[in-house]
Parts: sequence; C-alpha cells; structure tokens
Amino acid sequence: MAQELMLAIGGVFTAVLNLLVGGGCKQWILWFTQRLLALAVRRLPETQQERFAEEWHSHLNDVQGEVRKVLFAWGCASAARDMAASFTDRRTNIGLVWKGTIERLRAWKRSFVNATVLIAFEKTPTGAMNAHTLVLERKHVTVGPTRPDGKPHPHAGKTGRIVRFINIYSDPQWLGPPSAMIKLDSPIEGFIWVSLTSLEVLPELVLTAEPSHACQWVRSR
Amino acid sequence: MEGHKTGHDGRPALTNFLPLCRLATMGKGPQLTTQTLKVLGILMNNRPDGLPGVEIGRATRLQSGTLYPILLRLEQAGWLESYWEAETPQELGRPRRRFYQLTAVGARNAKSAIRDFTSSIGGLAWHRS
Repeated sequence: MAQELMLAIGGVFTAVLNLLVGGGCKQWILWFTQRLLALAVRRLPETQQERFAEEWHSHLNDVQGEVRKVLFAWGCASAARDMAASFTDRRTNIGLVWKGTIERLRAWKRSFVNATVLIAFEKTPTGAMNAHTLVLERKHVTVGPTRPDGKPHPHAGKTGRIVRFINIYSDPQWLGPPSAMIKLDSPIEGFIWVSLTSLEVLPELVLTAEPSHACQWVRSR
Repeated sequence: MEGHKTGHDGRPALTNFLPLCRLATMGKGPQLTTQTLKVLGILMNNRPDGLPGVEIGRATRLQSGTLYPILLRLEQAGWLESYWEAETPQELGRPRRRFYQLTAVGARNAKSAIRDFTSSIGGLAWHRS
C-alpha cells in the first residue's frame, strides 16, 4: 500500500517535472493559476464573485513572471476565505460602560434569559431621539476584561471606568443594520429590555411587534 | 420612571441585573495594522481619483493575500470606495481595472491614524534616547 502511494506520488512528481522541462511549463502554470483564481472566487459570496473575478484577472494580467502569477493567485485563494467571512460575520463587539457591579452581569449570565433585545434611546445634541436595537444572546456574552480573542478591550468610555467586554449578536436580517456600527456619543436616555427565553421567537417578535415577553422601560438617570 | 422588578411571570427581570448603564460601541472601524497604514498612506499621497489594486500592491509591496482583505475591510468600513474604469476592455485592450480612492471620512480618519502612529513612534524614540 505504502509502495503504491510512493509510486503514485513519484508519478505525479515526474509528470510535473516533465511538463516543466518539456516546455509545457507556461501552459501548466497558466492552467494552475486559473484554477487557483477560480477557487478563490468560489470561496466568496455569490454577490461578490463577478466583481473579484474580473478584478483579480485584471490584476493578474499586470503581474510579471510566471512564479509571481502563481503566488498572486495563491494569495487570492488564501485571502478569499477571510474576505468571505467579512460578508457573513454578523457578530459585532461593543463595550458596555458598566456602572453596576460585574456580579450583576454574571447574574444575568446565570439567569433564565437566553437572549435579550435591547432598544437604547440616544438623545442627540439636536434633541432628536435615536433608537438602537441590539440583540444580546447570552451564549455570546462573555464577562471579562478581555475580548474573546484574548486581546485587551481597546475602548474606554468617556465617563465610565470599565471596560467589561461583552459580545453582542446583531443580525441585520432581523433588526436592520448592526447597531454597533453606530457610535453612540450621547448619553443613553433609556432602555427597553425584552427578555426572551428562546432566540427562535425573535423573528416573530419583530414582525408582529407585539411582544408577549417581559418588557420594561428604564431610565438611565 | 423606575423599572419593574419582576417580569411577566414573576421571575426576576433583566432590569434587576442591568439597572444603570450606558452603551458605547466599539465601532466597526478597520484594524489599523502597519500594512493598513501603508495602504492608507499610498492612497493619501497619490492621485485623488484613486489607484488600482495592482499599483497599490506595487507601492506597498503587499501580496494579494494581504492587500485585498485590507482593501475590502477599508471599503466595508466606509473609508474607501471603489469603481471600475469607465472604458470597456475592448477599448482598453486589457481587462478593466478597479480603482480605490479614499472617501472624505476615510481621508480624515487616515490622516488622524497616520498622525497618531507617527507620533507614537516619535514618542518611543524620545523615550529611548
């Protein structure tokens, strides 16, 4: 079995060497590069495939040298996975300026609530009220001074000590654009919390706008 | 208005646990690595109508695997915008290029980020001397 495997690997190696030595090198590299670029494009979301296929082929056209072409295509193939993730990763990180004790946040982690919809009302300098909706899914909320990747949290509130990191789940399909995209500079005027025992009820909740769950209005000051 | 202390079923409501807090988002700005700053620097110091990926790559010496995720992140963050060349491939005699240029927000943020970076380098140099 091992001998057959070695023979197969040797056969492929010899074939590749023959191609390189026998003048088929350029065609083979062209074929390989095209295959790599096709793989890279396939890794992207469908909406982005046409754009990057054209863009990368255009870039490849300007790359000099066969080896550099392969390296370029290889780089695209390795980058495409990360790029695809940036289109689909809906988790956003926010810092919670925490005026209570961390024990309370830990208590929430231990509570029956699986998820909480938070609608925060921000009063802008012009007096208008903005509402920001966030979904806190308990399993995505971590309590601690560092981000889940272990790095220290970079944000510090204007007034607050903290910063305890929490990871917020925000799904634009349900609740519009991720609220964490918006920087809240103004004080929060109040909150509406809707506590959910299951995240599965959320689409229904948003569609009907008639929550049958605990709902409180709290002024922050 | 004070928040209720229990939920609809009598169990402790979340407001018991999170009574007073203020949100401050971390923002979804791009991670400002030295490679990202290189890209921003090249775009700031070049043509206002932008540069194609190939020229940014040449100027920054970044490989495609590093360059395109950076360009994409900056574009998603609203710091860059991109557009195709107006001419068709037939008119150009080659595939169309996609140009990247800084937005007004991107230019402002890039300037600030590069200034912060250079001042921190200066600070380090000062402390070491």
